[in-house]
Amino acid sequence: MINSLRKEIRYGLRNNTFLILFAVFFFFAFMTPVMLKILPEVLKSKFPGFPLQELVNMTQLGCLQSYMGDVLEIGTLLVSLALCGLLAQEIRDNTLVLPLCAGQSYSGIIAAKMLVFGTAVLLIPLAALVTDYLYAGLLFSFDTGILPVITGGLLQGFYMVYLLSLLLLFGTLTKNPIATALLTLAVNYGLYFAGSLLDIHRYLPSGLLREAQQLQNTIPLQAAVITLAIIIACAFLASRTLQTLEWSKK
Amino acid sequence: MIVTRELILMLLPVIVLQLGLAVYCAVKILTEGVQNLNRWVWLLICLFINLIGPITFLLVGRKRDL
Repeated sequence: MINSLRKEIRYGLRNNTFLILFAVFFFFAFMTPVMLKILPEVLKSKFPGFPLQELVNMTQLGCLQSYMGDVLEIGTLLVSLALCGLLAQEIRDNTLVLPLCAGQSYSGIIAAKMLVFGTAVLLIPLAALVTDYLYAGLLFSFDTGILPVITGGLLQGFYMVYLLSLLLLFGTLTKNPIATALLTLAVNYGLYFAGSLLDIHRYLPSGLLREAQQLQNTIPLQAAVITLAIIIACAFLASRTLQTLEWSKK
Repeated sequence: MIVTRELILMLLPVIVLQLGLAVYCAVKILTEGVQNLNRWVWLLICLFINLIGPITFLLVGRKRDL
């Protein structure tokens, strides 16, 4: 298992996966407070009398919520594109035969990927959200406690782990990185819109992001349990699908 | 309007992140080679398109070794 974890860490470093995740989340973490800080100044000079204060929450809390919105819209897209080749590319290039020949089980391969990249997608959004909190506090004022921010960051990270499990499952099904990313995004945004339309976010993984955006230090238990069940089901199905693949095609 | 020095100070973390990524990608382009597009086109994309440029290069432009 240790060797599999080492292999996945090396894979992440060689393909710059960790760097891309770090850059995406920290770019928004640094950019959002600056945008909210300079926006009133820009609008004041261009449109005097524009009632911006009524439309946008110009506080640390407003920055954090705006950052969460950016992560949902653009972060999800970039994370899907960064991680879409995790299993699909390896199946396509036939490089998975190496760990398989070394005696690694299918479930071990999935577990190693989930552990290494799951930890990365859990911790990087958390670190970025805390950075956003500190930078927004520096530019505005510290009017929000750190505990709701940490809870929000963990919920957001947990949502990213769910995204990772979808990418692994669709990777084994399509064996094509771009198709994997598109399918994951379609399911992801589709579930979000369905949740908004039918008002069932509390039963969907998107409920985690909605709750994280509120920054109220509460954990949506139903959504968390359902998300955990989906993650386990996706990992199990991915492992089962890997077992049915033909490895001697090339 | 906020004075330029103050604005640059506020944007400093973003500038450092963007510049770091651009330099990292430029070194990769010049030392390891590229795929899908010309080397100079990738260099321009990485230097002039904020965040998305370097990330696109790292995802689809980097030369992969099997």
